[in-house]
Amino acid sequence: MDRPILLTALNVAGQPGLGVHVAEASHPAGLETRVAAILAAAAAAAVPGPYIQGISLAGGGGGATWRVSLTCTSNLGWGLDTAISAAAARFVCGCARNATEIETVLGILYQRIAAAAQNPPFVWSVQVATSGRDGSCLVGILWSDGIVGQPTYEAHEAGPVGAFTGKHTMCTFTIPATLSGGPADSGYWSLHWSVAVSDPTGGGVKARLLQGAATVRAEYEQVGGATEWLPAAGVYRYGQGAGATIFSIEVESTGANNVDARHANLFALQCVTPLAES
Amino acid sequence: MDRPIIIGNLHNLAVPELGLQIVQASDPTNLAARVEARFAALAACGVSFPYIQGFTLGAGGGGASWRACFECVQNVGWGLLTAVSAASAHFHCGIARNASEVHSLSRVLLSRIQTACPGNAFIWKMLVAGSGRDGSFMVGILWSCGVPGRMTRAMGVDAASGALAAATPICFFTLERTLSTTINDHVYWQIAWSTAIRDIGGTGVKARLEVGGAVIAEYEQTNAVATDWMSMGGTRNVMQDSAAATLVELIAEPNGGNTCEVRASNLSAVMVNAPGAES
Repeated sequence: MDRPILLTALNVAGQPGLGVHVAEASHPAGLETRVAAILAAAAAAAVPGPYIQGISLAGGGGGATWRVSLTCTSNLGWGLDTAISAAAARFVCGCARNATEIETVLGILYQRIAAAAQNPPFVWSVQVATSGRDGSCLVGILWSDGIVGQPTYEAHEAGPVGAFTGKHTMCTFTIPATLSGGPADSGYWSLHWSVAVSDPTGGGVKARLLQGAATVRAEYEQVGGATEWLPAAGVYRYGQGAGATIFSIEVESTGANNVDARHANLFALQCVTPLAES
Repeated sequence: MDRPIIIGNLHNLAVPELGLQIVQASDPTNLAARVEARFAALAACGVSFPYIQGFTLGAGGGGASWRACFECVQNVGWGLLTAVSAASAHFHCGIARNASEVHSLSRVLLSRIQTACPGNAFIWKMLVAGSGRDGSFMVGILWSCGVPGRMTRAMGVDAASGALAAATPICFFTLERTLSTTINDHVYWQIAWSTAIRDIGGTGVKARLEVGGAVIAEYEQTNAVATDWMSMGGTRNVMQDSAAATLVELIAEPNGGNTCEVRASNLSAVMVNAPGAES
């Protein structure tokens, strides 16, 4: 079942592009055109981050119209990856004369999607509607030209590495930009990081989580004995932004000291949908 | 696709309110009334917490019956927020004479829901069924007045705080209580916290996680090196409380007479599982 959508994200006064819309046509090409118009109107709605939350397919055959119902919302429901940014949403469909042709039509539609995609294409819903009139079937695919990002990112370095002076990057990954380039479709990631550092000469060692090249999200600094492996670890919540962002664990020796590091772990878990958080 | 449901939660011969339920009526008023009656019966059926897990709409028009099918379960499937608590589930529907009326009808239905549950209504599923008889459409909406809670809570304080002379909450938030006040609709949150702490006087500092006033984790360290920023943090799964909202706090505290500083403090809670779906 679809994730719950806060009602006020669906029923937005003055935004006719949102809500439930039905497109009808007696042939697939006409239906695609009309659905594309609905998707474009939703994408142009003056609300933060319009999304397509649901689709269903019905009717048609023997000259009667096929129907597509779409649920268009502002922002989206609770849950992860349960709706498509309207700007990236696409629809293709084709008719099969009977059930045995469905797989063939589906294969053609997949090829069309692959040819049309500007970004890695993702298929959100494949539906088949059967006509009660002539036994024909409509195959419809709701797909997106790109996606916000993967649900998780991970990097690690078991080590130990060192001895080194100065700064050393233990592990790193990149969280991509929002699909729309704006903050309204931002998801949130829960980042966890940890590393063990050894300070053989006792001159001091730092370990930090970096966002980008210079933004320090957390930094620990400690002086230890030669046999100690000191812990540095933490959590950080990151709101996805308009640009791709590199995260890394960096270890730095203080002064002329040497340090070792091992068991560095960095991961990000997508934990919430856009604006579904306090 | 629906999340998996352990079959024992769906198939219970002693409880006829569970399983697939079909409601029929030729007009929307009767259909909505019959569906609401089913929801009420399900909510009162006596199993440990009943939920609506699936919903479809079909047929009707020209005097024929419209049909709503509901999948009713005990507890829920794996996954987060994939089913509606029966006690808070509601159904609204209406008829559009043709496709061009569907959008305006959906607006009318949504406005009715907004009036019935101001500010706290959640739409779980909107379906449109077309009639093969007269070209009319039914719009059906499964909704709930309230949900168990949002999926995350978080607070971060990057800047250094201090010098602190006593126990001080650095980050905090509140997890709301369960929707129904029954234990069986509890979910779990994974709470993660971390902070860097500096022991100015060298006589010891503490950092801890408190949930509802109880100490869940606490670290204590004495370090005479005034420049050290020590790492403290951890994780803990916490079950949602059915009685009251729960305050979650990251607290820093110096030992007696000492002072301390903290920086880069983070506290977050992520909903990690559905009711009854945890070991």
